[in-house]
Amino acid sequence: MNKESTLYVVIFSLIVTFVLVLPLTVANVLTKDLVEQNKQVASAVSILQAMGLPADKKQPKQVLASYDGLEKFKLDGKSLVPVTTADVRAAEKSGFPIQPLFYKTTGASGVIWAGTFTGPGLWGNITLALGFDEKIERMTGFQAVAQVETPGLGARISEPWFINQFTGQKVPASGTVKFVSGSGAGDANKDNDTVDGVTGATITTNGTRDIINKAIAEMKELTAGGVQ
Amino acid sequence: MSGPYAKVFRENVFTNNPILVQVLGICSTLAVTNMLSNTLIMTVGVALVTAFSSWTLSLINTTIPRKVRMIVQVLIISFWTIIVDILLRAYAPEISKSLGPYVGLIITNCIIMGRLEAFAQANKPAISWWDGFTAGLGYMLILLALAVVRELLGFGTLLGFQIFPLDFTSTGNNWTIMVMAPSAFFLVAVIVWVSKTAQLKKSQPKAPAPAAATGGAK
Repeated sequence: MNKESTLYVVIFSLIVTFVLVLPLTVANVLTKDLVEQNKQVASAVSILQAMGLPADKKQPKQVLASYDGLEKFKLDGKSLVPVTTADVRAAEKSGFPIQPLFYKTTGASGVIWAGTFTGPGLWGNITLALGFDEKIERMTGFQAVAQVETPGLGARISEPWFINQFTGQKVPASGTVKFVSGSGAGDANKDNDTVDGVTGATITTNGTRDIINKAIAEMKELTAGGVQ
Repeated sequence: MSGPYAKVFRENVFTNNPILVQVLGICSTLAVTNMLSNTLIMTVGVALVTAFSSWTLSLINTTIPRKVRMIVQVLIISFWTIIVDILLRAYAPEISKSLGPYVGLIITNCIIMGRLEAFAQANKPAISWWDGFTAGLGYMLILLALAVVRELLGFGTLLGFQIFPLDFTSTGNNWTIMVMAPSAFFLVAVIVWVSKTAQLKKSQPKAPAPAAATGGAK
């Protein structure tokens, strides 16, 4: 058959495409559950760590069990309505996950609240998991769940020195945490109104600041109203 | 070393290095060289995708119609890139997350298409695999060198370990330009300059220089 004839080109293209796409489909189907579990574990670890609870990524079963143990709430107007983990997973599976989702747990140190909050960064949305104590007076933790900021600059919001600043950080009376330019090692003082921003990543820093301050206002409002 | 495999290795890594001589793959050179760990994983990905794409193409190179040559090449590159992406997502989710969109961008790396067009199209599978792999190796060497300089001067760290104190490059701060893409422009230019000068010196015939040979203070 003439290699340059239209018929050959069409048949050749079809066969090559089929042969290459088939293994991709198989690989995708085979790893789908594992990828899904990785995602669930990653998000559960973020929430648990934001609440100051232990979470070891290498123990996925334990992490998912601890996550199941958290009380979960969805937003209905201006109040929180309880949902079960099964509801959350079913919604994820249908492609329309429950958003926003809030978490509560009562431990030795009292009630801890957490939630995921999204806002604009430099290249795309930043989603943060933030934890607070019962009266929203101190933060229990900070985790960047999803961000596509510049590696080495804005993406440093995922680094330990930045994250650790928020563990135990006082929520200022004004309700707004200020970001200042610091040493690059993080602000160790938990009782002032400031944390260190990321040098050279002003837009990411401001985006993160706005998400946190909006979250503080929202959590104060939601928890003040009580839970249905 | 001698033989065709050694020749391919020498050309791809030294005399015809994809970055220094062919100036290909510059986008990723600028984007992913500020952290050594990300650079290492990304370049290993590129080397493997180039090797297996070259191998796949050379298996079917006699059957490809000229009209759809490029499309088939892109299809093969995409196939191997997506395989790498799927494997990372399933078995190394942390690395997959830290590389983000850069894995998908391996598809657009000009080095891969360049090797398919220039070598795999007309050669046997085994040596094509080797050609793709060594081209990736040449790319890896330069990128790792850049990443070492940029991470050291930008963050004062290497593979995340603090080597220099935080205020090593400026008071109370890191040398931000080293973290940002423009610094790679300057560094690549310096490396190209040095290597070009060295190559030119080597290729010039040695002229008899009695004055220099006798030397001595005047």
